[in-house]
Amino acid sequence: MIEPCPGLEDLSAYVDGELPAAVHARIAAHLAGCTACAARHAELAQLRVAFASLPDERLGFDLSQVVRGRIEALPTRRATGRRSRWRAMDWRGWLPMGAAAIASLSLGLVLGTSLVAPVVVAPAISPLQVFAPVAPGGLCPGLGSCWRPVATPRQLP
Amino acid sequence: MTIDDDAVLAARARDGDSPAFVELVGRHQDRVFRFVLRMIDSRDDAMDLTQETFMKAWQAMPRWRPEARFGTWLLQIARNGALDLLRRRGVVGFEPLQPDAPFEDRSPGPERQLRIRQRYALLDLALRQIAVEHREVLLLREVEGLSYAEIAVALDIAEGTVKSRIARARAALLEQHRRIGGENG
Repeated sequence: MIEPCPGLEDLSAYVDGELPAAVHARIAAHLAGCTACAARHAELAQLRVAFASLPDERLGFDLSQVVRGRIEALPTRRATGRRSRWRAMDWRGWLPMGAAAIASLSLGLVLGTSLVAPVVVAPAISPLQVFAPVAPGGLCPGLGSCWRPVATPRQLP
Repeated sequence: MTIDDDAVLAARARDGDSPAFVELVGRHQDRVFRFVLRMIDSRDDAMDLTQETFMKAWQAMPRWRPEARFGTWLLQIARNGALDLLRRRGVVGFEPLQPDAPFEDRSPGPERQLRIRQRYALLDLALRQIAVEHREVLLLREVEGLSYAEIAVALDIAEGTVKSRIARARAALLEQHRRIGGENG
Protein backbone atom coordinates (compact mmCIF):
# COMPACT_ATOMS: atom_id res chain seq x y z
CA MET A 1 0.00 0.00 0.00
CA ILE A 2 1.38 3.37 -1.02
CA GLU A 3 1.67 6.12 1.60
CA PRO A 4 -0.25 9.40 1.24
CA CYS A 5 1.52 12.03 -0.84
CA PRO A 6 3.94 14.22 1.14
CA GLY A 7 3.19 17.93 1.37
CA LEU A 8 5.28 20.53 -0.42
CA GLU A 9 7.19 21.39 2.76
CA ASP A 10 8.37 17.83 3.25
CA LEU A 11 9.15 17.38 -0.42
CA SER A 12 11.19 20.59 -0.40
CA ALA A 13 13.04 19.57 2.76
CA TYR A 14 13.60 16.15 1.16
CA VAL A 15 15.40 17.83 -1.75
CA ASP A 16 17.56 19.67 0.79
CA GLY A 17 18.32 16.53 2.79
CA GLU A 18 16.93 18.20 5.90
CA LEU A 19 14.52 15.48 6.99
CA PRO A 20 15.10 12.81 9.64
CA ALA A 21 16.40 9.58 8.11
CA ALA A 22 13.14 7.67 8.64
CA VAL A 23 11.00 10.34 6.97
CA HIS A 24 13.51 10.65 4.17
CA ALA A 25 13.37 6.92 3.48
CA ARG A 26 9.57 6.95 3.54
CA ILE A 27 9.38 9.75 0.98
CA ALA A 28 11.98 8.08 -1.21
CA ALA A 29 9.83 4.94 -1.27
CA HIS A 30 6.76 7.02 -2.07
CA LEU A 31 8.45 8.81 -4.95
CA ALA A 32 9.32 5.50 -6.53
CA GLY A 33 5.64 4.68 -6.90
CA CYS A 34 3.89 8.05 -7.37
CA THR A 35 4.38 9.75 -10.73
CA ALA A 36 2.70 12.99 -9.62
CA CYS A 37 5.03 13.42 -6.65
CA ALA A 38 8.00 12.28 -8.72
CA ALA A 39 7.24 15.02 -11.26
CA ARG A 40 6.94 17.58 -8.49
CA HIS A 41 10.18 16.41 -6.96
CA ALA A 42 11.91 16.59 -10.33
CA GLU A 43 10.79 20.18 -10.71
CA LEU A 44 12.24 21.14 -7.32
CA ALA A 45 15.45 19.28 -8.06
CA GLN A 46 15.72 21.05 -11.40
CA LEU A 47 15.38 24.36 -9.64
CA ARG A 48 18.36 23.44 -7.49
CA VAL A 49 20.38 22.62 -10.58
CA ALA A 50 19.39 25.95 -12.16
CA PHE A 51 20.60 27.82 -9.07
CA ALA A 52 23.82 25.87 -9.06
CA SER A 53 24.51 26.85 -12.65
CA LEU A 54 23.98 30.57 -12.12
CA PRO A 55 27.09 32.57 -13.01
CA ASP A 56 29.46 33.02 -10.11
CA GLU A 57 29.40 36.77 -9.48
CA ARG A 58 32.62 38.25 -8.12
CA LEU A 59 33.49 41.64 -6.75
CA GLY A 60 36.44 41.97 -9.14
CA PHE A 61 38.93 43.77 -6.89
CA ASP A 62 40.65 43.28 -3.56
CA LEU A 63 38.34 44.87 -1.05
CA SER A 64 40.56 43.92 1.88
CA GLN A 65 43.03 46.74 1.11
CA VAL A 66 40.20 49.28 0.96
CA VAL A 67 38.84 48.04 4.29
CA ARG A 68 42.35 48.08 5.78
CA GLY A 69 42.71 51.77 4.86
CA ARG A 70 39.31 52.63 6.28
CA ILE A 71 40.01 50.77 9.53
CA GLU A 72 43.35 52.54 9.94
CA ALA A 73 41.59 55.88 9.47
CA LEU A 74 39.14 55.08 12.27
CA PRO A 75 39.82 56.08 15.88
CA THR A 76 41.19 53.19 17.93
CA ARG A 77 38.40 50.73 18.59
CA ARG A 78 37.77 50.06 22.24
CA ALA A 79 38.21 46.40 22.96
CA THR A 80 35.86 44.56 25.28
CA GLY A 81 36.65 44.18 28.99
CA ARG A 82 37.79 46.64 31.63
CA ARG A 83 41.48 45.78 31.51
CA SER A 84 41.59 45.87 27.76
CA ARG A 85 39.94 49.27 27.72
CA TRP A 86 42.63 50.74 29.96
CA ARG A 87 45.32 49.08 27.90
CA ALA A 88 43.83 50.40 24.69
CA MET A 89 43.94 53.98 25.99
CA ASP A 90 47.14 55.59 24.69
CA TRP A 91 49.11 58.41 26.33
CA ARG A 92 46.97 61.10 24.71
CA GLY A 93 44.04 59.87 26.73
CA TRP A 94 45.81 60.87 29.92
CA LEU A 95 46.56 64.47 28.83
CA PRO A 96 43.47 66.21 30.27
CA MET A 97 43.87 64.48 33.63
CA GLY A 98 47.59 65.36 33.76
CA ALA A 99 46.92 69.00 32.93
CA ALA A 100 44.27 69.22 35.66
CA ALA A 101 46.65 67.69 38.24
CA ILE A 102 49.42 70.14 37.36
CA ALA A 103 47.02 73.10 37.56
CA SER A 104 45.71 72.12 41.00
CA LEU A 105 49.24 71.55 42.34
CA SER A 106 50.32 74.96 41.07
CA LEU A 107 47.31 76.65 42.66
CA GLY A 108 48.02 74.92 45.99
CA LEU A 109 51.63 76.03 45.83
CA VAL A 110 50.72 79.67 45.23
CA LEU A 111 48.14 79.74 48.02
CA GLY A 112 50.46 77.95 50.45
CA THR A 113 53.42 80.23 49.89
CA SER A 114 51.24 83.31 50.34
CA LEU A 115 50.66 82.25 53.98
CA VAL A 116 54.37 82.23 54.76
CA ALA A 117 55.21 85.31 52.70
CA PRO A 118 58.10 87.58 53.93
CA VAL A 119 57.22 90.44 56.38
CA VAL A 120 56.16 93.61 54.63
CA VAL A 121 57.50 96.70 56.36
CA ALA A 122 55.14 99.63 56.27
CA PRO A 123 56.59 103.09 55.77
CA ALA A 124 57.25 104.84 59.08
CA ILE A 125 54.55 107.45 59.38
CA SER A 126 53.66 108.88 62.72
CA PRO A 127 49.91 109.44 63.32
CA LEU A 128 50.63 113.13 63.95
CA GLN A 129 52.40 113.49 60.64
CA VAL A 130 49.03 114.06 58.98
CA PHE A 131 49.04 117.48 60.66
CA ALA A 132 52.63 118.28 59.61
CA PRO A 133 53.19 121.34 57.43
CA VAL A 134 54.84 119.19 54.80
CA ALA A 135 52.94 116.27 53.35
CA PRO A 136 54.74 112.93 53.64
CA GLY A 137 57.14 112.67 50.76
CA GLY A 138 57.03 116.40 50.04
CA LEU A 139 60.10 118.65 49.80
CA CYS A 140 61.38 120.22 53.01
CA PRO A 141 61.30 123.98 53.04
CA GLY A 142 64.20 123.94 55.54
CA LEU A 143 66.39 121.56 57.50
CA GLY A 144 64.69 122.25 60.86
CA SER A 145 61.15 121.82 59.61
CA CYS A 146 61.68 118.24 58.62
CA TRP A 147 63.86 117.04 61.43
CA ARG A 148 61.99 114.53 63.50
CA PRO A 149 63.08 111.37 65.22
CA VAL A 150 62.34 108.30 63.09
CA ALA A 151 59.68 106.05 64.55
CA THR A 152 60.41 102.37 65.11
CA PRO A 153 59.23 100.24 62.10
CA ARG A 154 55.96 98.56 62.83
CA GLN A 155 54.95 95.16 61.59
CA LEU A 156 51.72 94.70 59.79
CA PRO A 157 49.42 92.19 61.29
CA MET B 1 39.46 28.20 3.88
CA THR B 2 37.87 26.37 6.79
CA ILE B 3 35.29 27.39 9.33
CA ASP B 4 37.82 26.75 12.10
CA ASP B 5 40.29 29.15 10.47
CA ASP B 6 37.51 31.70 10.26
CA ALA B 7 36.75 31.27 13.94
CA VAL B 8 40.41 31.78 14.90
CA LEU B 9 40.71 34.88 12.75
CA ALA B 10 37.40 36.23 13.99
CA ALA B 11 38.45 35.75 17.60
CA ARG B 12 41.62 37.72 16.92
CA ALA B 13 39.66 40.42 15.08
CA ARG B 14 37.28 40.66 18.02
CA ASP B 15 40.27 41.52 20.21
CA GLY B 16 41.19 44.36 17.86
CA ASP B 17 43.57 42.55 15.49
CA SER B 18 42.84 44.41 12.24
CA PRO B 19 45.14 42.29 9.98
CA ALA B 20 43.11 39.23 11.02
CA PHE B 21 39.93 41.02 10.05
CA VAL B 22 41.43 42.11 6.72
CA GLU B 23 42.22 38.44 6.05
CA LEU B 24 38.55 37.62 6.67
CA VAL B 25 37.51 40.34 4.23
CA GLY B 26 39.57 38.71 1.51
CA ARG B 27 37.99 35.35 2.22
CA HIS B 28 34.37 36.48 2.28
CA GLN B 29 34.15 39.48 -0.04
CA ASP B 30 32.83 37.57 -3.08
CA ARG B 31 30.29 35.68 -1.04
CA VAL B 32 28.87 38.84 0.52
CA PHE B 33 28.91 40.64 -2.83
CA ARG B 34 27.11 37.78 -4.61
CA PHE B 35 24.41 37.68 -1.95
CA VAL B 36 23.72 41.43 -1.85
CA LEU B 37 23.90 41.73 -5.63
CA ARG B 38 21.06 39.23 -6.01
CA MET B 39 19.16 40.82 -3.17
CA ILE B 40 19.25 44.42 -4.43
CA ASP B 41 19.92 43.91 -8.15
CA SER B 42 22.37 46.78 -8.65
CA ARG B 43 26.08 46.20 -9.12
CA ASP B 44 27.15 49.66 -7.91
CA ASP B 45 24.96 49.52 -4.83
CA ALA B 46 26.11 45.96 -4.17
CA MET B 47 29.76 47.05 -4.24
CA ASP B 48 29.07 49.86 -1.78
CA LEU B 49 26.95 47.65 0.41
CA THR B 50 29.61 44.94 0.49
CA GLN B 51 32.15 47.44 1.73
CA GLU B 52 29.74 48.84 4.30
CA THR B 53 28.92 45.33 5.47
CA PHE B 54 32.55 44.73 6.36
CA MET B 55 32.91 48.12 8.06
CA LYS B 56 29.81 47.41 10.14
CA ALA B 57 31.18 43.96 10.91
CA TRP B 58 34.45 45.49 12.12
CA GLN B 59 32.57 47.84 14.41
CA ALA B 60 30.40 44.98 15.65
CA MET B 61 33.26 42.50 16.12
CA PRO B 62 33.37 42.95 19.93
CA ARG B 63 29.83 41.52 19.97
CA TRP B 64 30.68 38.47 17.83
CA ARG B 65 30.54 35.19 19.74
CA PRO B 66 32.35 31.99 18.71
CA GLU B 67 29.03 30.09 18.72
CA ALA B 68 28.04 32.05 15.61
CA ARG B 69 29.70 30.93 12.40
CA PHE B 70 31.48 34.00 11.09
CA GLY B 71 30.24 33.62 7.50
CA THR B 72 26.63 33.32 8.63
CA TRP B 73 27.01 36.27 10.99
CA LEU B 74 28.42 38.30 8.11
CA LEU B 75 25.52 37.39 5.81
CA GLN B 76 23.16 38.48 8.56
CA ILE B 77 24.75 41.95 8.55
CA ALA B 78 24.70 42.02 4.74
CA ARG B 79 21.06 41.01 4.70
CA ASN B 80 20.11 43.78 7.14
CA GLY B 81 21.95 46.30 4.98
CA ALA B 82 20.20 45.03 1.85
CA LEU B 83 16.79 45.26 3.51
CA ASP B 84 17.54 48.82 4.64
CA LEU B 85 18.45 49.75 1.08
CA LEU B 86 15.32 48.12 -0.32
CA ARG B 87 13.23 49.94 2.28
CA ARG B 88 14.76 53.25 1.22
CA ARG B 89 13.90 52.36 -2.36
CA GLY B 90 10.42 51.44 -1.15
CA VAL B 91 10.42 47.97 -2.66
CA VAL B 92 10.40 45.71 0.36
CA GLY B 93 7.44 43.39 0.20
CA PHE B 94 5.89 41.84 -2.81
CA GLU B 95 7.05 43.47 -5.98
CA PRO B 96 4.30 43.73 -8.60
CA LEU B 97 4.83 41.53 -11.60
CA GLN B 98 6.31 43.16 -14.66
CA PRO B 99 5.36 40.93 -17.53
CA ASP B 100 6.86 43.33 -20.08
CA ALA B 101 10.29 43.47 -18.42
CA PRO B 102 12.83 42.22 -20.92
CA PHE B 103 15.35 39.66 -19.80
CA GLU B 104 18.96 40.62 -20.16
CA ASP B 105 21.15 38.95 -22.73
CA ARG B 106 24.66 40.03 -21.75
CA SER B 107 26.76 38.42 -24.46
CA PRO B 108 25.33 36.85 -27.57
CA GLY B 109 27.09 33.67 -28.70
CA PRO B 110 26.29 30.31 -30.17
CA GLU B 111 22.68 29.24 -30.03
CA ARG B 112 23.17 26.79 -27.20
CA GLN B 113 24.98 29.30 -25.01
CA LEU B 114 22.27 31.79 -25.75
CA ARG B 115 19.61 29.37 -24.55
CA ILE B 116 21.56 28.73 -21.35
CA ARG B 117 21.95 32.44 -20.75
CA GLN B 118 18.29 32.95 -21.38
CA ARG B 119 17.54 30.31 -18.78
CA TYR B 120 19.81 32.05 -16.25
CA ALA B 121 18.21 35.34 -17.13
CA LEU B 122 14.74 33.91 -16.65
CA LEU B 123 15.70 32.56 -13.25
CA ASP B 124 17.31 35.88 -12.31
CA LEU B 125 14.23 37.76 -13.42
CA ALA B 126 11.88 35.41 -11.60
CA LEU B 127 14.02 35.71 -8.50
CA ARG B 128 13.77 39.49 -8.61
CA GLN B 129 10.01 39.34 -8.87
CA ILE B 130 9.23 37.22 -5.87
CA ALA B 131 8.86 38.62 -2.36
CA VAL B 132 12.08 39.68 -0.65
CA GLU B 133 11.53 37.22 2.21
CA HIS B 134 11.32 34.40 -0.34
CA ARG B 135 14.28 35.65 -2.32
CA GLU B 136 16.60 35.90 0.67
CA VAL B 137 15.78 32.47 2.00
CA LEU B 138 16.34 30.88 -1.41
CA LEU B 139 19.65 32.69 -1.88
CA LEU B 140 20.86 31.58 1.52
CA ARG B 141 19.87 28.01 0.81
CA GLU B 142 20.55 27.52 -2.88
CA VAL B 143 23.46 29.87 -3.53
CA GLU B 144 25.19 30.09 -0.16
CA GLY B 145 24.42 26.52 0.83
CA LEU B 146 23.41 27.31 4.41
CA SER B 147 21.65 24.63 6.42
CA TYR B 148 18.17 25.22 7.80
CA ALA B 149 19.68 25.79 11.25
CA GLU B 150 22.10 28.40 9.90
CA ILE B 151 19.36 30.15 7.95
CA ALA B 152 17.28 30.25 11.11
CA VAL B 153 20.14 32.05 12.87
CA ALA B 154 20.78 34.43 9.98
CA LEU B 155 17.12 35.42 9.66
CA ASP B 156 16.34 35.14 13.36
CA ILE B 157 13.40 32.81 12.81
CA ALA B 158 12.53 29.29 13.93
CA GLU B 159 13.87 26.33 11.99
CA GLY B 160 10.32 25.16 11.24
CA THR B 161 9.62 28.55 9.70
CA VAL B 162 12.69 28.16 7.50
CA LYS B 163 11.35 24.86 6.20
CA SER B 164 7.93 26.25 5.32
CA ARG B 165 9.33 29.51 3.95
CA ILE B 166 11.72 27.71 1.61
CA ALA B 167 8.90 25.51 0.34
CA ARG B 168 6.66 28.52 -0.32
CA ALA B 169 9.56 30.40 -1.92
CA ARG B 170 10.24 27.52 -4.29
CA ALA B 171 6.59 27.31 -5.25
CA ALA B 172 6.49 31.08 -5.86
CA LEU B 173 9.68 30.99 -7.92
CA LEU B 174 8.52 28.09 -10.06
CA GLU B 175 5.20 29.80 -10.68
CA GLN B 176 6.93 33.05 -11.60
CA HIS B 177 9.44 31.23 -13.78
CA ARG B 178 6.61 29.54 -15.68
CA ARG B 179 4.80 32.82 -16.21
CA ILE B 180 7.86 34.66 -17.51
CA GLY B 181 8.92 31.68 -19.59
CA GLY B 182 5.46 31.47 -21.13
CA GLU B 183 5.45 35.16 -21.95
CA ASN B 184 8.94 35.13 -23.47
CA GLY B 185 8.80 31.93 -25.38
